[in-house]
Amino acid sequence: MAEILRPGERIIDDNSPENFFNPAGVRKGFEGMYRRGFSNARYAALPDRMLIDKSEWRDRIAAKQKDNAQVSDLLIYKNLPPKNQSSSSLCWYTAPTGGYEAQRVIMNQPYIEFSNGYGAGRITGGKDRGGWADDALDDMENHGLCPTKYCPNNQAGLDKKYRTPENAKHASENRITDGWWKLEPGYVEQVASLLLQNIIVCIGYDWWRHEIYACDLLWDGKEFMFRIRNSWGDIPEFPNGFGVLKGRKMIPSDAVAFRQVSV
Amino acid sequence: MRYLILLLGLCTSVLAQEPKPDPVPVKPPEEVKITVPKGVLGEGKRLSPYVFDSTTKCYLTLNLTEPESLKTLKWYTEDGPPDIEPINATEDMPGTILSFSSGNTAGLFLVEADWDKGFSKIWLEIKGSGPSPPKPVDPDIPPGPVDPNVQPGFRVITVYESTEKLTKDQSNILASTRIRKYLDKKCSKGTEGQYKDLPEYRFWDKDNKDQNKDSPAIKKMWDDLKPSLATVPTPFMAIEANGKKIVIPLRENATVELVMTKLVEIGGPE
Repeated sequence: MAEILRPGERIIDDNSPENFFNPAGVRKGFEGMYRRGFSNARYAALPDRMLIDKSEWRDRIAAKQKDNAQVSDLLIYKNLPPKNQSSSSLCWYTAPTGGYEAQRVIMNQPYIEFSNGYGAGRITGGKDRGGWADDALDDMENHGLCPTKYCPNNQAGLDKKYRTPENAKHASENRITDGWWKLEPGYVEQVASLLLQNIIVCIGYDWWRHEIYACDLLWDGKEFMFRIRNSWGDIPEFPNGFGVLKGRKMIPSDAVAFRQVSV
Repeated sequence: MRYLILLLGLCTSVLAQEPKPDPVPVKPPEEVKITVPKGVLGEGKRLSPYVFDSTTKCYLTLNLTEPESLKTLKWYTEDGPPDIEPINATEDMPGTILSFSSGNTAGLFLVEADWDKGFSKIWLEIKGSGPSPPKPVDPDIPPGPVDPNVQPGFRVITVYESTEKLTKDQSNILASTRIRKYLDKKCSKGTEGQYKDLPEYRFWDKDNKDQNKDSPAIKKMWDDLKPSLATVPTPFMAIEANGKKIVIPLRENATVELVMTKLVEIGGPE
């Protein structure tokens, strides 16, 4: 197990105490699928041809670890910092924003920090409240992400003074392109298949009321696990933002994924 | 006595002359024709065709290098293997290397090439494979002739289709930190704006339409690559190096090790 995890990385499973995954002072925001009404977002279902049979998972995981070809290896190599939603309730927009920055690393585009507040503010009317990732992805596809150079993160970015025509233009240059997928709730195989093909998945968990993005599939000798990247910055509970979910705690309540972003 | 002196003088002068070296044989120019990989048996004639099966590398190369002649090159592959296709075609040139699969239906095929100063024709036979044929080995793709239109430097664009399932090895190649470390070291660096000092390699979906925002050199490389997107199966790695364009197909048998070997051949040691 030691060789699977990075120094300080923790596994969160059914036996983990509450403070393991809810350290003092953190905020979340995912509103939970039990509260989700009708989504106006346009998305596609994941086609079956993208699924990888479970019999191949262990071999693929071993090969990725041997070749240092996990997505997390890339993100660490390129020093992509974890997002930090600070005291905002914007995890549902912060995780997809972090995933967007990670996708640019995969494509080898220059690093730009993007604001979670700009798009979230448009959706919430400027309020610091919870939400859902498919609203975030819909916004990122249609309107785009504004760099923090022009609009700050978190609560400050929610202010409508940042929603100017100039910032709209900056955002329109940074969008999800080529659509996105909405995965089926609880369908671990869909998430695992995408992770094994270097596609980041944004996952919302009802038990956690929190949204994160997953980047690797792991195997501990008995069970599969997701390596995730949280948006609470670099804290001891999630060193460099990374953590591991296992058992029932890894089963997604809601999951969305995009493949391509503007260069 | 006088004659003796004359004779002696003649002999001396003859002996004193340095022997003329044998004329250096002039190497005749290499015949331009369609060639096959080493190890392929046959003569390319109808009664003695080149024989390809699952153990041979399945490609044909025309050793034509004159740029003006390349522009007039035409391939006639109607009677060739069904999946034969050029793998180094550009906008200006139809390509000098054709690839096909040994998994085609067994049979006798004809491939012809015609250009302004000549033509070449070969017959080839594909042997039917057994019940479980081994997968064909991707051919080594030698670089094409030096192209004065290829910009200097070392650049790589890896193209894939993000809605197609990747094999284990393809997925690893696209995310390999070893390959990226090599490219970070070897690739030319961008020179302007947000691309300044960014190594010029990219991993892009073949449907990428935003490349106009990238560095000028990458934009040009992508524009030059566009005609290949319709013909070269993804994923593949397109390289510009030393004035040449090279394509490394990333088919089922490609691995990180294989790709690194080819990159080192092109760009030098790690």
